[in-house]
Amino acid sequence: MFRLQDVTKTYHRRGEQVVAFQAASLEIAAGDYLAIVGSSGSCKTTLLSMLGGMLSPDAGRVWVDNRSIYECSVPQRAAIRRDKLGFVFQTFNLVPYMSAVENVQVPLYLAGIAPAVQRQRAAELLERVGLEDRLHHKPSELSVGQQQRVALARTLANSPPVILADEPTGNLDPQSRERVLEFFAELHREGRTIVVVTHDAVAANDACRKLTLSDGVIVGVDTDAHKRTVAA
Amino acid sequence: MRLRTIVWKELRERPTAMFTGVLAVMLGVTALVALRHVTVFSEREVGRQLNQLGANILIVPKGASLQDYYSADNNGQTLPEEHVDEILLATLTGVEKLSPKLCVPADIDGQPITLTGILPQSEFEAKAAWQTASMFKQPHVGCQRAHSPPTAEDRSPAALATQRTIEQLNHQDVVFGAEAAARHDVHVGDHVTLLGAPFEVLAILPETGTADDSRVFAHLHRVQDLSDAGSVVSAIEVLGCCEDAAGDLVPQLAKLLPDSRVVTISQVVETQVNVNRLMSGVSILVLVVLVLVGGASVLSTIASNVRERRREIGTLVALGATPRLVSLLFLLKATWLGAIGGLGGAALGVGVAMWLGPRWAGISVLPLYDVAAMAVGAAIGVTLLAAYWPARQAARLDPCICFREV
Amino acid sequence: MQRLAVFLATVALTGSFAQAQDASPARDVQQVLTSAAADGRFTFILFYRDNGPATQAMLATLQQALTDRDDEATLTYVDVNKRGQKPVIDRFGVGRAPMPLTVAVAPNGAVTGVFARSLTEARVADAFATPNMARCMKSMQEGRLVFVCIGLDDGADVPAGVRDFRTDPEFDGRSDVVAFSAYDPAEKDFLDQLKVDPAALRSPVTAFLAPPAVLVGKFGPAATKNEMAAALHAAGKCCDDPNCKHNHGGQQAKPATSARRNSR
Repeated sequence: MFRLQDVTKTYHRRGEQVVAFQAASLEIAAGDYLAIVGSSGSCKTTLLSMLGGMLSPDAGRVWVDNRSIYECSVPQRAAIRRDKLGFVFQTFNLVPYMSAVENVQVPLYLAGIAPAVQRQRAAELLERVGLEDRLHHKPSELSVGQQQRVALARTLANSPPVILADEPTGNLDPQSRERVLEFFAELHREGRTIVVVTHDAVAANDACRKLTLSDGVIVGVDTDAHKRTVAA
Repeated sequence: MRLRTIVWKELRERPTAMFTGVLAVMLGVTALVALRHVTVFSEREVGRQLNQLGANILIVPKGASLQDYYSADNNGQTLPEEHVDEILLATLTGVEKLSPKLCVPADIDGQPITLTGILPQSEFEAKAAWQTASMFKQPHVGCQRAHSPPTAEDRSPAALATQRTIEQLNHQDVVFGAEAAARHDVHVGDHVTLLGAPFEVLAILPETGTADDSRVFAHLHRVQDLSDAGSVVSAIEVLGCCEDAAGDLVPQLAKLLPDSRVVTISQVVETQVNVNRLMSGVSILVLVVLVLVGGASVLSTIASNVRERRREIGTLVALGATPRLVSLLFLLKATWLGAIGGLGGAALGVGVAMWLGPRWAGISVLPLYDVAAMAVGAAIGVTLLAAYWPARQAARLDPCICFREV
Repeated sequence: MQRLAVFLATVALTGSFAQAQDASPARDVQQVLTSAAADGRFTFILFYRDNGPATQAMLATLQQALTDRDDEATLTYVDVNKRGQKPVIDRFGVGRAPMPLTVAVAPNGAVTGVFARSLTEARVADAFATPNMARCMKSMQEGRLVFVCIGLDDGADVPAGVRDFRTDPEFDGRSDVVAFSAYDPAEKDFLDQLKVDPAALRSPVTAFLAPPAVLVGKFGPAATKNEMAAALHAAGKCCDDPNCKHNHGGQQAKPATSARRNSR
């Protein structure tokens, strides 16, 4: 699904060029459930951003389904994100002035789906995450857990084969965290590829593989970490 | 969900943030539309006056202003009526008709009204010989128009509205201006009492849009008698044969009647044209201010909106939005701001012009839809232009911000 | 000494005005006019409101100017304050005119001069219009067109063009003909005014006049009705300014009758 080759990402700090992330080779197969772990500043999110086509590396290539995404045009990259990738954010990133159902409609709108279909599909997805009675609530009227579930429903709107999650359980209470992790497992069972950046050991342990970063370098890949994984 | 839904919902969510942007645009458009309306209608009024009054010259007492004359407020200043004959006797080139007027305050059933004494042209028939008497002795140069008998149109009392003179007017007759007739509910054939004397309404003039609409006209000599004013007039309108002649007449009249003030309508109109020109210039200035102030305000509003919504933009990009769509989001918002400000400003501007026009400029103003549409278009154009840069910035925003806790 | 002279002159003038007034107070001005007309004399009517210096000065000038013209002119006076004088005041339209005012009336009733406030002997002399000039004035004061046919012999012919014009239904009854010889010494002034030099005249000429006092044109014996109508049409214009309000419809292509209808 994903392949990184000789990828380097550098930052400029006080006039000096600092190598932030470096990876000679990394492959994430379709149906994989990968947890990226590491301490703060280890460039976990940088890696996730590069996988998501949102941060171009300074060197090297990133392939998604055999397409070097940073060699695609900006609109093409946007189409790849829209059609293949679903993002889950630590702070959910719901649009505050839109209701739950409207938030879920956004990716559907971006995919060019008709408004009526958008509404029906969004309602079904919210039903799937147990929020059928919160369709018209704004994020501020929902609990943190409910907001994350709206975000999950939004992620699934275009049925992306890949889920990229950035600290999905970071702001959740234990019960909500458990529910999200169960949800990820379910999505994984459905055959989707899941890449999770997390500090949460429990969440990391749910993945099939655990990739550890330290100072922007992959220091280990643990393939025995999974507990709940169902082979893709 | 559509793009406009997103824009509209966001606008509704943050109405106050948009207020300053809209307000600046709206005020600019209001000023522009109001000025343009007043200018256009003032120009039309000038055109109409020129058309109606033609090559008129007005002779008023030295201390009186034209404004005094048109507002029928002469502060008691008058001219001797014999000036009329002096003008006739001088057989000045280009004098076509003379219309002496005396404005006196009167009332109908307790309601004040301006009674204007006028001299019908028939009164001048006996004096026609005066011009002939000087034939060949003072050869005319330039204007040599032969006199024509009054046409049917000249004979109609309505000629007073269109030609400033009336052919026949008996001592018992009055002619009402359109507005005066409506206000006092007077009709042709009615009897009214003015200055204690009975009059019969001979005619009601068509609306002219001038001060004459609110006046009542009677025979000059009757008005003089009833008001005990003596043989005086408030003003003498001299209808020049043409504008060229009128221009030449002014110095001659001024020399002939040194105790009076002689002005041409074209001079008045010229002043008005200058005012209009000034207002046109001010309109351009307002447009520049609209562009600068409104544009700067919209730019600041949209730029700050982009800053506020960085994470939202990042999220949209993550969800598959293209930079173009992100730009459109802000440009559409600017269009809304421009449209709201423009429409509000246009409506307000038209309202202001309609309200102030008659009060300040003495002109009635009606909505000019093309001006309003152009102003709305200009407002949208300005806001779009102003929003272009922040919208571009939004499109170039680093989408990774969506991963950060802002 | 100078003041005394002025005083004496004033006394003398006042006396003469009083005498003059006495000479004609009872006489109706209309009678004076009728009588003068019968005698072929001009009437100078002095309208006055008061016996002020302006009136005195005008009277003096009139008396001086008419001293040697007793057989040609009569002088009469009208006090505009007297109610009995209203008919004559109205007839000449001088009720609210600047005073003093002198009106010169030819024997045929034409007003040949109106002088307000001040007067010179030269202007009094100018008021003695020639008989044919007075006829023309009378016609124009009645709003009629005048053809002044100036012939080379005693019996001036009326040209065919003029006859056609006068019989045109459009102008029927609206014009007069005044015919005289170019060599009539009594009409010398009139010919001078018309700028007709009898010595240079090779063929009869017709001067076409329109009210109030417009020389529409001068035409030779071969001039046609249409040429005269066109000239009258042009006289209906104020000036050559294309913006002149009287110039509308003044295009030559338009039928001349439309403009003629508006001209007397």
